[in-house]
Amino acid sequence: MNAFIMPFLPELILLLGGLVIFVITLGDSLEKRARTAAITIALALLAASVLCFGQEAVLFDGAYRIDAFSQLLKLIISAGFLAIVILGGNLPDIRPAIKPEYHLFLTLSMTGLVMLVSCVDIITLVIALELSAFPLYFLVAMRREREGQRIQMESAIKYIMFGIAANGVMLFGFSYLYGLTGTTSLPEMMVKLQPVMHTPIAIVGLTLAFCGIFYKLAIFPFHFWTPDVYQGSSNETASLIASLPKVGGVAVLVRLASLASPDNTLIPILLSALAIVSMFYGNLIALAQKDLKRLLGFSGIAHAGYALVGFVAFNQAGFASALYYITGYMVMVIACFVVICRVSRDGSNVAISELAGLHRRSPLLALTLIVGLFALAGLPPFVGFMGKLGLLTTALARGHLALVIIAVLNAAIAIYYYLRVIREAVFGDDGGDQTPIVLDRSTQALCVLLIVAIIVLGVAPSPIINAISGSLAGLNLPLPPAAVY
Amino acid sequence: MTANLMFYVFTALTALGALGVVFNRNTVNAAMCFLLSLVGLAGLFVLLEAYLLAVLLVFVYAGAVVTLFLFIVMLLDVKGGRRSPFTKGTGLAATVAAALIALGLLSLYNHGRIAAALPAGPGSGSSLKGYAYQLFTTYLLPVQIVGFLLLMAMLGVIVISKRQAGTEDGK
Repeated sequence: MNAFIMPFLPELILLLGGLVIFVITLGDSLEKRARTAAITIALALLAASVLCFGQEAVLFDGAYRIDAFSQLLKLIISAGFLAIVILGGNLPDIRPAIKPEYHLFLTLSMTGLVMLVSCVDIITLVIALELSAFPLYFLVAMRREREGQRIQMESAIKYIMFGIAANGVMLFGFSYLYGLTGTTSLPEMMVKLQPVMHTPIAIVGLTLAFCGIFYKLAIFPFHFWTPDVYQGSSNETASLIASLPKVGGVAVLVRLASLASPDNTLIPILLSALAIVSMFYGNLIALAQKDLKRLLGFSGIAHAGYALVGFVAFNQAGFASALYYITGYMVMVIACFVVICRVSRDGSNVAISELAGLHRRSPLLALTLIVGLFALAGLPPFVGFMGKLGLLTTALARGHLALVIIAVLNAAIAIYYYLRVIREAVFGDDGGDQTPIVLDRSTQALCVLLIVAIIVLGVAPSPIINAISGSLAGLNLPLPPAAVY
Repeated sequence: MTANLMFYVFTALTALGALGVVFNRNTVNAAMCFLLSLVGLAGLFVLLEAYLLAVLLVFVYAGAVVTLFLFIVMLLDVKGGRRSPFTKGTGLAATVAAALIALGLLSLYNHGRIAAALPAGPGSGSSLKGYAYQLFTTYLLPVQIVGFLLLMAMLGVIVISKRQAGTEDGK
């Protein structure tokens, strides 16, 4: 019995926590208690992930695998979950009556993500993917309706339509793979797929299966929902959608990409084409944005493109740098969203011009924003720089020179619009509005922790990169192990 | 031979029914076309000797889901509505998309043949016991998660529909 409970502890905590919040939602005006419960769950999850780090087990008849890879990602996701719950504060833009439900959906979405990274069976994988995605659709729609803010329903519909279509395409791809191999278990599929991997049907199946993940990551051409959903959802929801699902998406992409043999030439070409289009599309349109969340949405498309560069390399170092990059991206984007949530008045959207004079209103927030944006722009010594460096090095080592040049070009474009936001925050004309923004203790702690994380991950990346590479080695990928940079 | 013929009949029924759903302007007719498509699909499952799946499909989808659709159509009194005509842009995009799909299908037809026989699946076949065994071993976890998924879907629908009942606060 204990052999089951220990490795499965994080999931059990989330499931039990979900039920506890469900009971809370039944009562009246218990939003404070729901938030306390959510924070308790997040802390317990973090503790459980630390405790279960290094566990190894295969559960549910081979459908669910606890290994170094999944445990590391669970740790990252639970840290992100805690940050999101703290950042949400008392949810200014959600109706009081449904605040407990907001926390319930948040917890269930996390359950899906935590399970997602452990799934090695495609049926379980799809269900976990849906459990992580469906609550998000509701969270988008739960934003308060008021004058001049009625787009949340439209955003939610767009999000759910794209989500279901992408899921359908992914299931169709899985049906090809299942038809070719006769198994739903990924490790078995990996073995049986090798002899037929060069056939068009296998490549088509795998590519279609990727589509569901591309949607999660907002990679072109599955990006259409991103800016609208960021803009239409409340600030807290947008910060969740922008950060954690992408970590899960990259993790699943690693598991799926391992199905293809490394000497496959078509899939890297496809991935680099998508990476290039995503980068250009995201960065060029972000140049013209005035709403800070829309800007982050378009830049998110570009960053997903960067992460895909790691998959083009198609070796262990490439996967490791993609995972490292997306972990860094999670921290950076949460840092930017903390600022949005706290600067926004009454939960409304934040235009870039509203940031003017931020350094006088709240120096800590201004510092968080500056560090977050510098990191997103890819300037040293922050994590964004080390992440991009790692991705480009691995791609270059495999001879993708053109792709590397294009990625660097895009990083240069991106610096412009990130610096524009910083210029507005530091030198912008605030029109005399200098009301200081009061931060509570937990937000202050979160800001400091995020800044420290962005700098530490960037200055001393080797522990986490080694941890990621080591966990990938345990996946038995059919890849030539490459030297870790 | 008969099985081959039946395969094409059921496939045509499924595909044409699906097209009918998309092209029908009247929602009730669209729902009926969906029903036809499902019957064709159930026939395909019967040909594959997955009798349980075929019966479940007819019970759950044709029986319950389509009825639900019809109820909703009647409750909401949805009219067919006029569609805005295609602009030049949509026409061009549709042509490009159709050409791409045709190219893909053509190349799949030319190069996509697989010489070796495909492996058989786990083959729970038509037996209820086989399904039950799989549901409680390999797929135990998904079955359990689906429970949470359903709980969440139910709550989500309640939360969203509450909003429309005019309980808007702060005004």
